[in-house]
Amino acid sequence: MAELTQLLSQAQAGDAGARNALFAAAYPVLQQIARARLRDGGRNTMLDTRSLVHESYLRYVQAGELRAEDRRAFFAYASQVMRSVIVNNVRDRAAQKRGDGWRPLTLSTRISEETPDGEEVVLQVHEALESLAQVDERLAQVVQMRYFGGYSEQEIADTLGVTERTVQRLWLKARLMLLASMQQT
Amino acid sequence: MRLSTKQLGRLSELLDQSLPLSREERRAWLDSLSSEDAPLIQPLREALLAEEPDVEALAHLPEMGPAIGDHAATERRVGERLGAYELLQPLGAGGMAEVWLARRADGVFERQVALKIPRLSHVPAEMVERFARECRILATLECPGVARLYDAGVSAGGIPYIAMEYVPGQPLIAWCDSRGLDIRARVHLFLQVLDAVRQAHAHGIIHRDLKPSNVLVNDRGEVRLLDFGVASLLQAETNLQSLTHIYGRALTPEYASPELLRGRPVDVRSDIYSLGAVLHELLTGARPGQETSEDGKPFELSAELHDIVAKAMAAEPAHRYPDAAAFAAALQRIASESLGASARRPRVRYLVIGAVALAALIGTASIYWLRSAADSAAHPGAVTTADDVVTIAVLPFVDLSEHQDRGYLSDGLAEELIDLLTKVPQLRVTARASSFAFRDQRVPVATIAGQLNVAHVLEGSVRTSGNRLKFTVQLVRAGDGTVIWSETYDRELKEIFEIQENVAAAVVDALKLRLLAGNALSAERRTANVSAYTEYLIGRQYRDGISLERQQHAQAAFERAVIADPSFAPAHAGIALAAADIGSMTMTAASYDLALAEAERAMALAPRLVEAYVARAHVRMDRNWDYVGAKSDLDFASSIDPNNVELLQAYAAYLWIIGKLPEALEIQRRNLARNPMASTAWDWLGKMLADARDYPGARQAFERAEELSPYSDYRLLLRTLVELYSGNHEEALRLARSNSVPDRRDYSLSMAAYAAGQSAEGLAALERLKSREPDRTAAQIAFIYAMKGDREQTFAWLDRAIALRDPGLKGMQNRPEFDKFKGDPRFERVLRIMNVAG
Repeated sequence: MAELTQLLSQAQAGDAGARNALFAAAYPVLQQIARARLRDGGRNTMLDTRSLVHESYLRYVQAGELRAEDRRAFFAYASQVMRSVIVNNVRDRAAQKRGDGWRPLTLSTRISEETPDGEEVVLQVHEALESLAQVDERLAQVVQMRYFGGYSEQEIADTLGVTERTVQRLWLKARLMLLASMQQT
Repeated sequence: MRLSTKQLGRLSELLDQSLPLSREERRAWLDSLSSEDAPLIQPLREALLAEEPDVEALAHLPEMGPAIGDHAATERRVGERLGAYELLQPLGAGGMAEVWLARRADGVFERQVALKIPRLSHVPAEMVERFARECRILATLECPGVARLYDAGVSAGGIPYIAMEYVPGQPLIAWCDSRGLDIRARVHLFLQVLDAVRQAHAHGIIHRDLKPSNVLVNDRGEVRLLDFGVASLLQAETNLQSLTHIYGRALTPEYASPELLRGRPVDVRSDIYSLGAVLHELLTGARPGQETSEDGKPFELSAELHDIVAKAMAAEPAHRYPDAAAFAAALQRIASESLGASARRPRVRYLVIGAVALAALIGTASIYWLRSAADSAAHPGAVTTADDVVTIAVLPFVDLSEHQDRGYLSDGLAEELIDLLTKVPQLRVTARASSFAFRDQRVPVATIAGQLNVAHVLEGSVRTSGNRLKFTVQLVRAGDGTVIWSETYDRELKEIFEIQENVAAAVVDALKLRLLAGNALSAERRTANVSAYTEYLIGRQYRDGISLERQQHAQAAFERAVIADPSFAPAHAGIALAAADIGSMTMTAASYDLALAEAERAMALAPRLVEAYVARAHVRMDRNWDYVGAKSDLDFASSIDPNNVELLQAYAAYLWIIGKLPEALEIQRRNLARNPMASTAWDWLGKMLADARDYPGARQAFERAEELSPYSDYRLLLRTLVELYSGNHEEALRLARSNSVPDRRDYSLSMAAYAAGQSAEGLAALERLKSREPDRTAAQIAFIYAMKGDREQTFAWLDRAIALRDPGLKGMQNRPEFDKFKGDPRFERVLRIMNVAG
């Protein structure tokens, strides 16, 4: 039995341990691909996270750790890992720019710069998304897949088992809530 | 102000109401909102009435600015896991690796470690195994002056790491400078460095990257060398690629020998060169060839010191000191003579030897660095010559305690001494099964020595009273009965291990041998728990027999030992060995599982415990037919203690199984030289000789076994086969009929009857065998059909035996009845399935 496949089905059945194990397994791979991409891409990198998820999915399938038919479940899951990878990367980069440890950016944005740079935006979205998840889990999932995972609306619809139209509606609403939430800070 | 969760929830409701509305409707809707929603009105207005909805907002991740500095420096985070390690804090970063303080996150041990993370982006999968194996070898290096290497691996994310002993301390030169040490003190400190290097070289490990920053000195002024073997670990060649190809240059050119820079094979003298460069910098403050900085480094090299450094750094390895000991001797001489008054000599030019060669090389060096891995795998370190082998037997010590109830203790002392002495390269020690055969026999020492074929005998007595232990031991030269050395110890019981080490050291000293460093019993092999130790010794006694029942008793005893002291590694290994044998005899998966788990548990507790690797090798061979894995375990065990009898027996079996008969016989003979009283080892020899078609030799071996242990139905079976193969059909039939175990009788009888042309009796025996429990004897039934020449049935039964992983199949390609099957593709296929083809 492919190891990740098994973990996925356990995680979907609500097994928190399996979810953690799955996360632990997928994180380094995505992390590694993301880093390699950042390094290769040089400056002003925009992470094409969707292709990273695809790449890791293919790696797992090729390594026999995942069945091809687990694609949907894996994608649903991978966006969460991807978010974590991105946020951690961004925190490292932001900390390095300031030359000291990590401080919550929400306190310093207005003071330091007029327009927050990419790193700061990402972290703001990340924080706002935490609040959003408390209000509406599904909206947060959509944002996670759309924003951090870079998935297409079709892919999100597949993963959530809803129509593309619903995804568009959810995404519009989620985006408005996030913007409202971020502008308040 | 951030929106509260409650406000966000309300916002969500309001959006649900308003989003379906048209623009005009939204305006009216907004105006109708109550003052309760006041804080939300402005954001809603922006969201709902924007002239041009910002479709781009949050559409994708923003572009990131460039990170400052090296990307690699941002690689790791506090709390990140690499393999079993959790990163605690960065200790430093160099061009090739970063080093973190880390701890085991899985609780295997508490110690903090220095985790070295080479700057590799990706490690090819085929390198991972090699990396781990090399590391296991290095982990055996246990010298006081060398930081231990515990572990290495590649994380799930493909990031390699090396876990080393964390040494708090200062780099060599900084340490000396901060204390304002004079030249004499520096030379003395450097002698410590040389001593540590000497010890590591004695283990055949070359550093390759000795430099001042790899020499740490702690507060007590003790030197610790870092990264011993790490360079070679990273330069280990593989078929496809070496880590060095990715890793880049793994050395520091200022201290590297010319041959290393050229990518030529290196030996210990390459390290001597580096040490010369380090000494130069330690004494003058400047690297060879470099001017001293003007801010006043105080020392100049005396002519003598200059000569020493120059010799160490000779361009030709042959002109250098041959080893660290010679280097130290030269330095010692002047340290005790001329340095005393620190007579200042005329200033000598800074050393430029070597530096010239270096400058010439520097331009092309990087190319060679990348290539150097391939041909530098050989480690011609200090290897002891085996010309003068001293032989010794340790007899069981006499128990003189009041109630004679301390047998386990006297036996234990003798056993541990055997273990320790076995590791002295120039010493051949009789194994316990043999020397203990003389327990309670009032036989003169000379007689025993004659039977065991040894020149020396160690004997002693143990007397206990309360928690005091009185231990007398003497070393006797067998030839004339002279007592070479004798000593009495009066200690507390808990100091028992210390006594063992003292005695071992004294014996070695008396025999004028050199005890290699690192041979002391390591702490993890010990138990302070007397009952754990007792049970362990009981288990070992049962291990000596080949029967299932004895192995079950052994396993039970080891299990009791583990209950008394769960961290007592040898007992875990004992369970593993016994369970592996039980698994093989009974073909039960649970026993194999237990064996594997216990072997690995033992390894985790004591990474140098030979028996643990031997046990795992047994499981790999018998259950998995994984001979590559088994060999790597056996080779590793052999690198720790090549003379361990469990190891030698397992190695011989391994070679026999894969069809290397001459090599198997050689190892088995070595095993018997150390263990001449072990009947099972003679049985094995007989079996191998029979396969080698040396029937007279096989008969002799069985006769010897018979003398030591009168009857064994298994041996009778083996003897039957020897007679059958050598054409003595009547004798074979007679022996077969006398076998008391039905399966063995019918198997050997059927074989013998068919060989003798008595098909009716052969068939009858075969049918009895098949009617009993054919799953237990599938391999034997296949052999009978092979003997008959019935190919179809042979392969059918071979397939059945294979499906059952029948251990009886082991070594079958050596059997004469399969001679006529050689070249048959079906037979080749069977061998391939069993992983023993070619």
